[in-house]
Amino acid sequence: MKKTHNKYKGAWPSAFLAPFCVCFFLFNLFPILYSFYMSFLDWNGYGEKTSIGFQNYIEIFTKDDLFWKSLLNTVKIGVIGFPIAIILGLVFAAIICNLVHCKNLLQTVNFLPYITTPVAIGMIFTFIFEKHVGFLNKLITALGGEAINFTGSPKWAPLVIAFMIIWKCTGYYMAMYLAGITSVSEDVYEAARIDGASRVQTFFKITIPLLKPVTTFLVITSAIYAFQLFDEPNLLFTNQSATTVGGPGQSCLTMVWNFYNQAFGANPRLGYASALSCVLFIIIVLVSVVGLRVMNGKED
Amino acid sequence: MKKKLVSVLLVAAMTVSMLAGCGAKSDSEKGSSASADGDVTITYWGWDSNYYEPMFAAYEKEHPNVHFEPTAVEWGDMLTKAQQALASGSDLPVMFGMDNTLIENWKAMDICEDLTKYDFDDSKYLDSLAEKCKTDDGKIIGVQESINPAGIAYKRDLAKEYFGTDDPAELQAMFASYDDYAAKGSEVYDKSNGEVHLFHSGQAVAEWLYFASDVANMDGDTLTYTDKMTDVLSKLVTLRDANAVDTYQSGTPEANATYADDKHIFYPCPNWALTYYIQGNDPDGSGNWGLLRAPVDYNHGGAALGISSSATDEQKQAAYDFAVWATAGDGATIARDDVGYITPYLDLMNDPHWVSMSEDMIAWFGGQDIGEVYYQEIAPNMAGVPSTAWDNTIVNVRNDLSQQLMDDTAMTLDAAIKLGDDQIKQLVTDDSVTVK
Repeated sequence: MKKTHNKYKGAWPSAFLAPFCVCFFLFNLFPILYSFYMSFLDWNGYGEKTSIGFQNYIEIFTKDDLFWKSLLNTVKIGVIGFPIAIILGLVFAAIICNLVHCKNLLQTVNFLPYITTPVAIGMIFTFIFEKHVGFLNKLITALGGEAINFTGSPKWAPLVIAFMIIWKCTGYYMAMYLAGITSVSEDVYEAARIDGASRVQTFFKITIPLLKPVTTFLVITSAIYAFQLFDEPNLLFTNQSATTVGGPGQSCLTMVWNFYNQAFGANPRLGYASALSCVLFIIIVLVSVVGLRVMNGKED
Repeated sequence: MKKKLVSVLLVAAMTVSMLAGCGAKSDSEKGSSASADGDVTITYWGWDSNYYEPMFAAYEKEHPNVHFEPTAVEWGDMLTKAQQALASGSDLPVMFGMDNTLIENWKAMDICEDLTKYDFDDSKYLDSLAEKCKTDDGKIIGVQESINPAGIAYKRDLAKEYFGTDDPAELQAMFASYDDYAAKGSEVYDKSNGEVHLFHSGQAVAEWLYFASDVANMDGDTLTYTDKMTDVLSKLVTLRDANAVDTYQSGTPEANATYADDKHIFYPCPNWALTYYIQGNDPDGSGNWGLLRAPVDYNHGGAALGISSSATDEQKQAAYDFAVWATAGDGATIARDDVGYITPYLDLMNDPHWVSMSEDMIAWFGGQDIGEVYYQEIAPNMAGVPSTAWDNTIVNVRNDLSQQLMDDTAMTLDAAIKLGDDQIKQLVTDDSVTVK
């Protein structure tokens, strides 16, 4: 026993951990620390670096309207999109888990959007929501309505992004809930049936409470995803001839898009963008911690 | 012992293989581009494959020791890609395309070889374009590929249907001013029961009006946003209110498909758009297109060839030789015949016998000699304003405002200007620049 214990005290564990540690340092920790260092600089990425202390952070919170606008847009899109996706995922999982036929087919079909490349999603949604030839507007005009400029109007564009999230994430959430449902003991449902509980009562009184750990996980990861939203709006509103920063009226300028534009726009500010990314990091940590506390409640 | 040795080797192999990608290129790798037998490899980043592919093929044929390795990069990603390469210490290509809208931003990176070292004489090139490649301290950072005179292309079948003629001279008389476009646009819209518009996109019209505007973007350290946008958007609002403009978002596949439809008549058309937009989006349209001069002759966009100062001497010399060949040598003829580009090299540009369009392009435009329109009628009168470091920001705001003006037909010019004013003040982050 002592011999075995000593075996783990030698150089070998360190040697085997070294590749991971080196890579983690080079590709994760170092970039994070370097970004933090850059956030105290006035630097465009290639010119002279000037140390300016907390000036970037002061500017973010006192002068930068775009930061607040992007924060509001991100929260707005996330609050509309993710709760609906989570609820739909739960409902689909509850329906599909009881199916006898076509269960695998429906699972696969629902999951496909999640593994579709964002570029394709951008194109698909352009074709759906485009004003003149888009499928949805064809339907609206066929029903006697007037075509809506979904992707060109500040009023509608955030809703299109929220819909993209719902379309993309519902299948993933469904898969997570399905895994959760299968882990619930059949005995509990049987006991409920013997006690005379209806299907709806079983769903609300047994399924949902027992899936709380899954829901907590999905809510937290969704919040993190929401604050990192970039691909969907950027792909929908960036094209060679008429690029805008943030879509129509900047209504879809998310925090990461704002960061990207500051870091890699025509007049780059890598130092300032690094400060934005640090603020984003803190926001994500805060939201995750608060979310966990709220979701777990008394258990903590 | 054996086990230990195997373990040590495995650990070493894992670590080395993971770190292998981190190292910079060795000197021998860098030097491989110019080998002992005089072969030179020129790496290139650019977006316009219609231009660089035939040019590179022809140059490689004439110069068997020179090889090109082009990488297609989206127009909007070019500057960012170069910035990222510079910030991360990655290799830049030997040669790259620089769009004139962003040329001041390219200058700011200070990565271009100064061509005065090669005794490049830019006085032999069209002054207004050559000037764009000059830095404040007299360096020349690139060679302009082409002049970019722009007119208004039209579909002959629709012109005949709605204006009674497809003759360029008669149409030119009909469309002499922006007000003429508004008046005719209103007529066409009514006649077609709201089905047909003169133009497909407010953003495309705003782009035309932007390049045709003689209001400079900067006056010293003041960004003259209000003056510029008022000049551009007031005309767009007039055309919008006359129903002359449809609401497509420029550059989308749906908007590009309108080049082949029967619901839109006019398209602002610089010379590079002939292959890029018209032939590309209306492949069966040969013979159905015509070209008019816009109310104001103007230069639209354009690009310069830059050479990376970090390349080897052999590569830089080879890239410079190519740039001169492409604009002042045999390459200029290939660019003219294959792509419709006309060099800003004055000796060629001013020679009416040399300046002509290919037979194919003339046939595409129903036999109209569009070379004469572009290079003898429009080019000598082209309007243009100096480039600035904030042009791309202004363009982004212009794109948004023009889209919103089209989306909300009740939006007034003043409301749009105010909206853009809020945006541009947020986007211009240099404290030394005043937005007016």
